[in-house]
Amino acid sequence: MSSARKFLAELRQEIESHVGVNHIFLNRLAVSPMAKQDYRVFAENHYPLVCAFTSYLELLLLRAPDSEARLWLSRVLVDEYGEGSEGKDHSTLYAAYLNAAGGDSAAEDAGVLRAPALEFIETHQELVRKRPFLEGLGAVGPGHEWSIPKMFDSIIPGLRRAGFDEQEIGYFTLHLDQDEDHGTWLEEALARYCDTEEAQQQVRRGTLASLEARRRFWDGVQAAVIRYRQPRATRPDGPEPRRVLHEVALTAWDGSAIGRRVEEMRQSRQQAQHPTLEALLQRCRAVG
Amino acid sequence: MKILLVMPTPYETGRLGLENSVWLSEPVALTAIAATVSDRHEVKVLDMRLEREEVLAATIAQWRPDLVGTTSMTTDVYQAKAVLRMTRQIAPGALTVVGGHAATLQPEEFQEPYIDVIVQGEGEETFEQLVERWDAQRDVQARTFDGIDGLRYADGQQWAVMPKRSQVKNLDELPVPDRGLIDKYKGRYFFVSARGMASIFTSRGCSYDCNFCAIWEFYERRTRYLSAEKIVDQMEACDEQFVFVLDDNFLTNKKRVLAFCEEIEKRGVKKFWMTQGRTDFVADNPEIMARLSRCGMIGLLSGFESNDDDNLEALRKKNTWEKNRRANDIMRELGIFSTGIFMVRADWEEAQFDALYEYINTLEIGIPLVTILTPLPGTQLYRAYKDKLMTTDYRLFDLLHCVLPTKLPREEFYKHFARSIDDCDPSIRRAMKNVFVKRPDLARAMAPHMPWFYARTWRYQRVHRDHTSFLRDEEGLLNGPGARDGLTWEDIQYPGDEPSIGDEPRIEARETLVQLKIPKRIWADDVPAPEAKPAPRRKALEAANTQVQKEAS
Ligand code: B12
Ligand code: SF4
Repeated sequence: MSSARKFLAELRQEIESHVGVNHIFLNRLAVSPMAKQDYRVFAENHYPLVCAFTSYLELLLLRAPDSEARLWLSRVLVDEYGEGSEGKDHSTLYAAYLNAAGGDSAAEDAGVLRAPALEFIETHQELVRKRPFLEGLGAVGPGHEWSIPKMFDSIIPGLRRAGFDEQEIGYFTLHLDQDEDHGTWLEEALARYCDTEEAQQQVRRGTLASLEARRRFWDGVQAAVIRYRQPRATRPDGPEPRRVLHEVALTAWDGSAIGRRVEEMRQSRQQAQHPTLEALLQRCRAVG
Repeated sequence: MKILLVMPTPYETGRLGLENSVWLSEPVALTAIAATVSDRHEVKVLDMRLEREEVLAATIAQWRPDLVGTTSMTTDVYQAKAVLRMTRQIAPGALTVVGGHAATLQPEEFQEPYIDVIVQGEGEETFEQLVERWDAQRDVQARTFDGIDGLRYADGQQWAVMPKRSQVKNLDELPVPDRGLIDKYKGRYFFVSARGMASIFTSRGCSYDCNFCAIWEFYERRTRYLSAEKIVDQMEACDEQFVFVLDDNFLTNKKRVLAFCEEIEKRGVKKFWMTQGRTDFVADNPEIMARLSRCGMIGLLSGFESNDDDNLEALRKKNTWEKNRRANDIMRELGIFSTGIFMVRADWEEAQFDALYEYINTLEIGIPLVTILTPLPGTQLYRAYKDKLMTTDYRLFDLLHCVLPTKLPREEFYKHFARSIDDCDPSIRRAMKNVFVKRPDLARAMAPHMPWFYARTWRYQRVHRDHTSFLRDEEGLLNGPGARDGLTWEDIQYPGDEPSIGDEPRIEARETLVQLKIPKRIWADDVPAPEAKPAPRRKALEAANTQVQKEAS
């Protein structure tokens, strides 16, 4: 096996066993009876990622060093824009799912981004704009195409259990097949580039940066689902036991009206500073 | 070979649950089975209740265990499954094993493609053999375990069910649980403010047959004991000052209890320990209780269950409220914390809640745990009501959510349930004061952790006090897949024409057991509601509210 192929096989394995791809939240979705309400929170957080994906490809396309890379990127873009899904682009498909879960895609389009999505999108925009081309390719290529089928394998059974019909979850089922295809083309494209140690390291760095962002994203979505169910969480211990004073201070803070108001104000101020998805994409295109 | 044993975490970090503020015990199931593993193998225990979530995936990915085992009670079914599913995804070569109460009583729930072995019943011997067999077979990835009793394994598309394992006759022969494996969590387990608490067991099983409890089925209606020497050896080996004895019914055999006291006295062991036991033993044996108290007993968790004898009878508790009362008096006198577990029922109305809370205040129970009578899988109650469940989401079987339709509108029901926190507060205050006055040594030992306990409990109670917490937890999950759609209270009217208690057996116990005469009718309609006297504190609150309303108008 050539060194490039060997590297890619190892990379694939690394992706498949990565925490971001096998996040406990995804496994919980796969095995627990979540309700549509939980999936609404999930969808509201996930929707912007779907809408932003094409922007990474477009930005990367501008920087593609040769026709091989341009060809792969354009193929994926064409699919994202609706080839193979009856002309519906992927964000339209996702919007249908979001609305079926009780969400409002129009409101999401107009509203400011939630923290987990904002962080994920910014990380990726940074990767495709500012890092070497191969790092960006690592993030949107293997980081997405090789990880999504496995992640969606965890998500789809739960969606069916919650009562969504096949049309409503079309976005997810479509990706199982499409991403397998994209993944195979990608392997061919990458095999050409990954022939030096440096190129391999760049692809791997980008891939892992994307998966790490994915892990943080799932952490955030899980936290949002929990907050929806139980807004006044009891703050159980973390990995380190809290000191008595810390416990007492937390309780005093949680219990005081001032504490609550300050926290609410801080949160809404933070949230207000977040851009809308449209603004973020435009800003990025302009800079790109 | 590398073996990873995982105590799953409850899903929602802010979820209501005992382990949030009242009781977090060591994962003894895991340290017990780990102790049987030969020194040739390496074992790690992860208690996910005390770890960051990503540690699990990282450990599986980096440490690459050859076997991952987890434990499960009914409420944790999905957590255990998620652990094993994740294992299969990250390390497909590892054998995935589940054991515990849920695995034993509802094994079908775990028959999943990502689970290789389900261990049923007591785990020590089965696990020991399983580990050795897997060690021999794992090179060729052969995952069949024919000939090992007490488990079922996936054999192609089928599940092969091995014969039941006979229980270890003499508990003394079992290796002592390997607490060294959880050293890194030392000091973090607790019961109330007894923090830095070790957990041991000294007996297994119970010879009663309450119809809401599956312990007697799990242990085949037999009780086995560790010898007094072994118990005290274990207590002495704990560095912790507090020890929780996890037995379901510690107080069952006078001879052994006395032998235990003798051993403690002989060796001069000074530990504060608490356990679980029935109130009738306490009521009938005040002198033994006094001796136990001198031997370090500081708390007893008992199922008081009800303030009503008919209800106790319907639950087959074989106890009376008078014994509950006497037991509580004795414990108060001795300065033993009484933790009484009570169960409200789906068919209750305001008056019954009032009467229960008043009863608790009259008794002055130290820690009243008010729960909801729940048909837990594996129990007689479950067999009777499994077709009447509003949900099959096992997370809601935590005795804090009502899985049957309630007679009151659900919101009302939870309002009354949630007010137990405030309505029983006088009971707690008086009982605490009493214990600390009577046992200054205990007060001194617990005092340093009191602020810690109160701070956490306050936050926990804030969630519990808010009845919408319960509604939010179950939103969208009632009448879901597997449950009967559109079920209402009327569907579960418990008609007066059912045969009464003591008639022919209607519900079968597990085939291995004597068939008992179990009443089909558990909720007796003709049982008069306990006299409805609002609790004094509630009356005062109501008066205050009326006053405010008057002023406002
Ligand atoms: C301590 C305890 C708790 C602790 C923590 C539990 C824990 N797992 O550490 C706390 C206080 C948090 C707790 C809470 C609850 N508990 Co609790 N708890 C117990 C108790 C008293 C002891 C558990 C224990 O450590 N036993 C000692 C070990 C050695 O026994 P074991 O767990 O059975 O393990 C053996 C086998 O099962 C098997 N095994 C177990 N796991 C594994 C794994 C593998 C891989 C293998 C091979 C074998 C194996 O081998 C072990 C050695 O023989 C048991 C009663 C009991 N006798 O077990 C109830 C019990 C487990 N709890 C029960 C219940 C109902 C609850 C609650 C729902 C309600 C409540 N109010 O108590 C809550 C739920 C909390 C939640 N998360 O939602 C029920 C569960 C019934 C069921 N159908 O699942 C039990 C059985 C009590 C009863 N009377 O019915 N509980
Ligand atoms: S509730 Fe207690 S007394 Fe009744 S069977 Fe269970 S362990 Fe025994």
